[in-house]
Amino acid sequence: MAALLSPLSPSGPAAAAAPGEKGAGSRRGTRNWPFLLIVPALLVLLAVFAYPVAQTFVSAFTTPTPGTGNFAWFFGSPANVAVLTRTFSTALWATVICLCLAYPYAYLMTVASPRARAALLLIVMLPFWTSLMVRTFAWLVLLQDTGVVNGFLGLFGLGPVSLVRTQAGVLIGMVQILMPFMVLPLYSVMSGIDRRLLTAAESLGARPLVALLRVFVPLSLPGVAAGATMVFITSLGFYVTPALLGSPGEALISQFMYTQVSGMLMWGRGGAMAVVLFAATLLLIGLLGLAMRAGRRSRASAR
Amino acid sequence: MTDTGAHGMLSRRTLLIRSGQGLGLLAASGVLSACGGGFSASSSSGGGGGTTLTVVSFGGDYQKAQAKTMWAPYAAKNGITVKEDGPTDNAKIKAQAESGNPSWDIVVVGNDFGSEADAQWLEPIDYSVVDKSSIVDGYAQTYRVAADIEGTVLAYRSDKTGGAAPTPWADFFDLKKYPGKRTAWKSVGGGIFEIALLADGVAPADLYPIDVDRALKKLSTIKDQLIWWETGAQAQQYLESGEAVMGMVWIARAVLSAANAPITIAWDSWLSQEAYWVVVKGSRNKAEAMKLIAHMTSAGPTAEFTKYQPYGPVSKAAQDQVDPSAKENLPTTHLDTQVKVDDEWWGKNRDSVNDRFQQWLLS
Repeated sequence: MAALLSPLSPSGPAAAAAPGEKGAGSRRGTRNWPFLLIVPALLVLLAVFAYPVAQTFVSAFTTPTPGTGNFAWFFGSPANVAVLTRTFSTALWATVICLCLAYPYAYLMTVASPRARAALLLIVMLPFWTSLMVRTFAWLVLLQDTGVVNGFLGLFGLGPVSLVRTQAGVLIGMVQILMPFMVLPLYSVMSGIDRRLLTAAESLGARPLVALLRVFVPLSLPGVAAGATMVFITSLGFYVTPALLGSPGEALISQFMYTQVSGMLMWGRGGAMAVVLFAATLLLIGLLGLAMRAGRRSRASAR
Repeated sequence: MTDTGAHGMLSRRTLLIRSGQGLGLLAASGVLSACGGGFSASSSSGGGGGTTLTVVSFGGDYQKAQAKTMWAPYAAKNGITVKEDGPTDNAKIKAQAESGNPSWDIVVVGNDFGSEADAQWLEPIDYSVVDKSSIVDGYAQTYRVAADIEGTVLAYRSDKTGGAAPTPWADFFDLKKYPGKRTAWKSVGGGIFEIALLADGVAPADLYPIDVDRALKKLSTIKDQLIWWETGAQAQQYLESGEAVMGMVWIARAVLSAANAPITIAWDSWLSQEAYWVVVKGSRNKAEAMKLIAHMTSAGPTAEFTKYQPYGPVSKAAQDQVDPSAKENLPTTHLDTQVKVDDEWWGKNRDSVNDRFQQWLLS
């Protein structure tokens, strides 16, 4: 979150420390009393997040009968497991596409003039400030069989391309919505990289591209990790976009939870799916954390 | 999804069931303590003077039209007060009936409520007050009497079928004859199983018990050409924009979209759907409620109602009083081709079939 928010802070990008290194906390203060400041937020989180989530998890094991019946149901059907894997693969695709688009964009932001940088930042943030529903419906208007895109293609005699009710449509909508979550951490890290290192590499004989790939890119990896984690985790829970732009045959797990809970009153099954998604996500984050730590260690030892 | 949102209502009402039940219990305990304190309502409301009836409907233009044509004139004439509430919520009816002191008296429900299976929450309709013989056959039942006769029909874009008229429901599944997308209601008991079986050659009389495997197999033949709708507005939009060449849609939405686009309704075979009046068990104004229902199902009000909503009148005598221009697309004009949906069967089997349906949707 710090990585996400720092570009917005008035202190400007130069002042924002690279979020990869945690500032020494003890410098700031006297005793532990500042921690009291988080108590209100913590209480709200407990009441409106921790409690219902815990109840959902409990219901997974208790509703309608105690035991692991809900999990047996979930893993007993290949279609259910396919929903889970589809959710993860969609999230992965969204992350990869976001990264490919956001990396050059964030790089441009770091080298652009302050005025151009402000404009670039505004371009990223503008859709971010628009309601998710509005944006998704806008995509529907653009992408549907009788929509703007297909109308344009029709001018050249190209037949209607199915863009909604496909995974492609879902990805287009998701990537657009998730882009700021990738651009901002990347920019925050990139703007903290000392560009004189590139000059130094070039003065030692590296060509500009090599200097970029061997010096700049490795230094930007914390931003990549932060952005990728943010985008990946957020896409796992997407509901509105796949519900509007996708098809029931390619449902993601949150849609399926909605069907089970709201349509069929199967709270236990919804809970079981939540537990499975939660566990799978934690596992992935854990693995990612381990991989990053190993990577950092090997880089440190290489120095 | 288990609720019939036949009037474009949000179908997410089921989410509220739990909270509804909770509220009902709270309300019940409050009312009970009030009774303990010596509160006694006049149960002899036969005279009608000063009675307040609470009538609950689906809301929107539908409820406004009912108020205007059905209960408002009656209340003014008979000196009673009608309080409106809404929208209908089956869970709330149950919770109020269980409390023993319901705040709702008369409620409009969809097909999924009010059959014999729900007897414990409802008062039987008093057919010494409501004239059973005046009601279209089959719509005066033990615990409910129809408020209006609706239907799920096949509507098609006449500009995209090359002048031909698709036959329901075989042509809905015939992608060779009529290529293009079809839109259908994503609700297990909403008729999708019935139309698949009808298209597969099952006679209307042999539909039940539903052969789930056979229906799903038939549906699989057009699965990639199906666009599912969940609200009436969606159905209308898919037809009007031309994204779908045909659809299984609620009659009111078909009529609305026909006003905006070249859309024709095929009446050769359509599925029954109704709204019903029920009286909540334990209603303190039972006698007055029956009288109001008798009025609301009589010829005058039901015929007047068709001026505002394209639903057929339940009164036999009203059929000839309907405006001729509206008559063509009223379900009651086409009762000979109606296929009856079996509410009792769905009441017993909805959950298990829905499980299969949801899995099929995912595969």
